[in-house]
Amino acid sequence: MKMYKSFPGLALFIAAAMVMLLAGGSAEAKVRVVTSTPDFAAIAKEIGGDRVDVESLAKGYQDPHFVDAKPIYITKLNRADILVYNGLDLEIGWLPILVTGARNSNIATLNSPGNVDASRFLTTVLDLPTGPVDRSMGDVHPRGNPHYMLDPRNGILVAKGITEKLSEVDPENAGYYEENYRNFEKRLELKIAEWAKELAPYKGTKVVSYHKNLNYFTRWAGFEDAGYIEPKPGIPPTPSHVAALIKKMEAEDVKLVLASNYYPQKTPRIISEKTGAVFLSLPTSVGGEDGINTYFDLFDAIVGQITSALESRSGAAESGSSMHNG
Amino acid sequence: MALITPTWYSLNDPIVFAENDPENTGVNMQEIEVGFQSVVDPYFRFDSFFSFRTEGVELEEAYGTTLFSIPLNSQFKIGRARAKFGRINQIHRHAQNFVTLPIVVAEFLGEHLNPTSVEASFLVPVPWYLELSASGGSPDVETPTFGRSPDANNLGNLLYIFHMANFFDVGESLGVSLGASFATGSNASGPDERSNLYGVDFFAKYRPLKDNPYQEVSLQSEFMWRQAETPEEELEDYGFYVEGMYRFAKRWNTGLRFDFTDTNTPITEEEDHDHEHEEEEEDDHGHDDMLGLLGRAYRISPMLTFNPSEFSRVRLQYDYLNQDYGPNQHAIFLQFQYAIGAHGAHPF
Repeated sequence: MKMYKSFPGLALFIAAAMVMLLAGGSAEAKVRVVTSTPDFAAIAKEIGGDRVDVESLAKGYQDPHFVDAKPIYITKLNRADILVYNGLDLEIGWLPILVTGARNSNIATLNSPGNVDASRFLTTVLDLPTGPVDRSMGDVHPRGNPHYMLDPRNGILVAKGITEKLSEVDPENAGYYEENYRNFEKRLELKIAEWAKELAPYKGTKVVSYHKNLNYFTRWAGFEDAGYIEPKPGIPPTPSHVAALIKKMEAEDVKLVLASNYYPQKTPRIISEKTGAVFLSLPTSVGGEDGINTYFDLFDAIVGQITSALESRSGAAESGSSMHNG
Repeated sequence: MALITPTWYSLNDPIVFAENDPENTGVNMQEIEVGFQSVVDPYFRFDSFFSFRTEGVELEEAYGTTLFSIPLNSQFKIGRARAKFGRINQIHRHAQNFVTLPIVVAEFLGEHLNPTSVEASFLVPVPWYLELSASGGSPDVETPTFGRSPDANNLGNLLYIFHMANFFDVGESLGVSLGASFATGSNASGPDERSNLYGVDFFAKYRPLKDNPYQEVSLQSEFMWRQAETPEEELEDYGFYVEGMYRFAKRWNTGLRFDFTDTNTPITEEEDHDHEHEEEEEDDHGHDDMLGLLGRAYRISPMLTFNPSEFSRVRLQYDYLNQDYGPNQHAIFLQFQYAIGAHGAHPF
């Protein structure tokens, strides 16, 4: 008899060992919220306060289209009561596979009680294709531009949605969440008015950005989108496209070049040097830079950087010298 | 609204120049893979992948996965699926880093080990990711190591596969995965003849998100050890591969793989080589799905890949194969890949 013939016994032993390794879960009082990106985590913290544990999978300094589907995220999602994600296909390359692996009926399907696609709280989605689309146009999002958290007014809509969800999952604390929401809404509305006032002198400023991810911001700020450094969404800039863009910027007197700080900085820098426009590498998510810990911090940083750059540029233009940022 | 979104992957046109394998040169359509994947209802999702090749169509995977919470953090996968054995066996061809399979994988698992089975996997509540899985089923697509036993009533003759997967973050930029696998079942060389296959796998990826978000370096390796009985003898074979990948720009990556296989019990070519099978699919290594190895072989494969977008890919690869039972081989591959349909998931 060969030694590895005694197979069924071995199989049983392994199976038994596996079952013994599996300890039971522990009961925790706090609602566990996992979010795909840190903007939702920041808002969930504002609403949930000390009654929730909040964690974001992606980092704020990371391109949210290209997050590694690390198995450790499955462990986090397995324990979640609520999953808040951006939707509009932003996380399509990495989140679905994690949600399936999570074995968690709170979040497993679109219809699960804790599965929160935050895009459904919006009232407007930008860049919805009106005609037919295919991928010769680049990686277009057929359901519209997913970077809506860069319009601070959407922060209020999302906060309201998260409040309702938290109250549904944890009705005991519904009053607490509601109160936090009102407080958050009031503070954010005040700040939005303040930011709008700071941006008001620059209404109509023409902007070139790297990717279409700043459209919600520029639309809200009253800027005019003059072009993109990517020739098509997701396709890196080509020399001919850059040359044409520089010509266009010179013809239209474009003063500002913007890019999220996770995009390559070389091409925007070259364009800024060639055209005399100011280039700003911006944090575009909570956690995008050290010190940006809340949704308020994020817009303080973006609005602050843009207004001070435009202010010093117009000052420099008046005194007759040109100014290059960086 | 369409609930089922087909995904198409096509691996096209590898141009091969092999010194002593003239049958396998020229321009080939390697594979077109069509996937239908959808949630079935609140309780299950279903995934299926059909592989169209010149030799025919294979139902590569068709399985349901439970979506509801089950005690012990378990999940069941029922149907035909790429088995959780090692790492590369769970990765579809279009997502693999090289045109050819590592020799040890081609020799021991065949094109892939995809039995029809019931698989239970458990997420163990520890601070890192730890998944244990066990499956029992039948290899109805025959592989070199495992086959259907004529005595299917004997449950001990089914194919059983066990796997342990670990993943942990080491700091913000480095992720490490370690796994161990064991498979045992009939090898169809006789009524009671069995094979045992042991494997360990390692994968590490370094991606400095803060400094160079589109650059990454990864290292992947698997080692396998096989014991197999045939009516005449007991075979002992082993092998490993190590591959290093470097993504140096958003759209470019390059890699180098080293393959090695050896045996304590070399077989001779006539023994198993049945000429009836000549028409059958050949593995990457150039010979039929036979049990046992002829001798020692190693291979070195450098590779360069350009991805014009997320949906297309051009890959150039060179293989140098050295074997102590035959002449050395050189091969150059140029591979084109296209993906259409729904945006697929990127496995880690």
